[in-house]
Amino acid sequence: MFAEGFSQIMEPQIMLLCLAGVILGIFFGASPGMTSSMGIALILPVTYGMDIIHGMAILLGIYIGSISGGLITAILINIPGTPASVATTFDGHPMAERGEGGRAIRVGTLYSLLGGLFSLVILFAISPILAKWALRFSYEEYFAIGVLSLTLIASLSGGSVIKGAISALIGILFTTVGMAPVDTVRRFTFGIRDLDAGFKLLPLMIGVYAVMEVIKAADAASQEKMTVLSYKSSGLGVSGKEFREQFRNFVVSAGIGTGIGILPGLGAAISNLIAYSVSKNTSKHPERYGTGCIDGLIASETANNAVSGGAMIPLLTMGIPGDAGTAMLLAAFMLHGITPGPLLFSSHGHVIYAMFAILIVANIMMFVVQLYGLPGFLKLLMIPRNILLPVVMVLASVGAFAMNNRVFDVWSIFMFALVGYGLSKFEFPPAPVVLGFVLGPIIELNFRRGMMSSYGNFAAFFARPISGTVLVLTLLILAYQLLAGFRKRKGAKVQNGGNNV
Amino acid sequence: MEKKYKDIIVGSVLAVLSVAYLLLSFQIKLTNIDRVVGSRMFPQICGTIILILSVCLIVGGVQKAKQAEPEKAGEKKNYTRTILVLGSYALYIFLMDKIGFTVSSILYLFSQMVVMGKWPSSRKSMILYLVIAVAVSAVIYVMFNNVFMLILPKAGWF
Repeated sequence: MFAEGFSQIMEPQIMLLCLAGVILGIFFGASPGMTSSMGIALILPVTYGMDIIHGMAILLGIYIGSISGGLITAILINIPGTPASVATTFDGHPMAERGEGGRAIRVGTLYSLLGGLFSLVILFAISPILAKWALRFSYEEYFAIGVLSLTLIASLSGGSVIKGAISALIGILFTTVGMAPVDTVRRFTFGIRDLDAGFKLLPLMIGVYAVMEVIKAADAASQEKMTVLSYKSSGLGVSGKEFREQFRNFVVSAGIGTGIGILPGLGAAISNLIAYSVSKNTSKHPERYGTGCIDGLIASETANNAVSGGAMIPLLTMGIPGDAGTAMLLAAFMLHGITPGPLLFSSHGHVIYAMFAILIVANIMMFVVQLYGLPGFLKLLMIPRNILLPVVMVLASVGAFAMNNRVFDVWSIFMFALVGYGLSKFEFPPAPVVLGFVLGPIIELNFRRGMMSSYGNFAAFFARPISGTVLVLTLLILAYQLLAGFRKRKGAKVQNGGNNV
Repeated sequence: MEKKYKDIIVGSVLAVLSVAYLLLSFQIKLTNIDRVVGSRMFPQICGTIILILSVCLIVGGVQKAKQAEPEKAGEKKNYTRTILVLGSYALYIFLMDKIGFTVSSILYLFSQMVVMGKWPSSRKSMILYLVIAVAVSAVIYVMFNNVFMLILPKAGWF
């Protein structure tokens, strides 16, 4: 299977595309405010004319590069390039302040590679089995998994659960515009022809994320200069002895990262923080964490890269994306006429094996490029944001336009930007909107098909073992959230009551 | 806008919008293809949940507002840049259709770099912005027209 995969990608053109993707990815990852999903969204239009494997080479390159790139800014400037490297600043930056910036980068990059490869092994091992299993999934299972994913996303996106849930539902409401599934009735189109096809993910993503970044950067126009700490170093950064000492830390963090990747809706942004705290709490010397010890750095960088392989598992086997980055990859598949799901393994097996091979190559390229191209990336990072972001906006607009050759899609970027701005003003998380938008049609379609096959009996969704279990689990999570919210409020009341009286 | 009323305001807006959405959903045609669920039911379920959640938000907001201590008059936030950013983007999209992609991109890039940069811009940086704006638009035009074979919005002369 690997021989088949590698034989397909051993072309100079594919290698170059993958390399370009990795370089762009590291740059997007390292630039604060720009994430893998934005990188993929921007490059997607470039791949319209390519075949799927060429397109995947550059897109997966970006996906892998961007998760790791965040550590550059996290360590040397103390600003996490992406939410995935927040925990990297805890120990990485103190190391850089001590003059060990270069070593921190090397250790972080090495463990990014190892974490990424660890998760790929899991991906290769699990996904064919899971795909076979998922072949037996029917409408009910897809409906249940969709609902569970949304529940997880809404409740774990940080802040208020109610706001998370509203964000997710707003995402779903946008998908109800246009032709309905099953009977293709027009909904909420108000007679506007352009609305018949509904909204697209790309404009939503750009509107909610990219435009918000532009507004934020404009607000902070009187930026202070970023200071880069020294990064001279050589070697891998860890000795053989340290490697053995850190092995348990590595395996635990990689396991956490991969597991979080597999669970829908969590993603790299949470994995690094969880792995860091687990590593700290199980360490023999927790007091050293935060002062610049490599343990914390390794936990964070291993876990966030381990998400990459884990998140591909539900995407490839069930067509359910785990986070905004994989949601964008899902959109890329669709544009190339491929629907991820269990059938993909039998109908497009060669594509899957080629992708596996690309993922391995991209991880290795990331390692090499990040170590040797560091000075170049630091120069690129110094491009003022008032020059970089307008260029990004133009590229995004071109991409949205080129999808269907209509200016309507560019207007929808603007509309989503207004929605995104409004939501952020009132502290609603943006990620659930995107995932709601992706999962909404999956949930609706399977809900309707399931209801049709059971003649309108919703209990049928609980009657099947897998869907029943998943739905009960969803209800338990909801109940737990409600209870936790209630307790919190009660606690706050008691405190406040004491203060007021 | 006072901070403590935030949840009440946004909850009310969402409640009104979801009621409007629910009312509009009754205009969706029902067909014979799917008589069990129909195309109305799913939007109506989602709309109802949003309505319930926004009421929760309002109730929670009222409790919070009662408990919150009176705010000190904070500094007023300046929205000039935000409005300029959004406004120039809207203008860009509008012009894209009218005067073509290349010219409108040059105008947008230049104006946006000025809006987002330090005020007032120096002469030197203005020239830099202009050069970058022209170069980027030209490169994108050539790449998309000749390499990726995608046609961008055109006006008569470009």
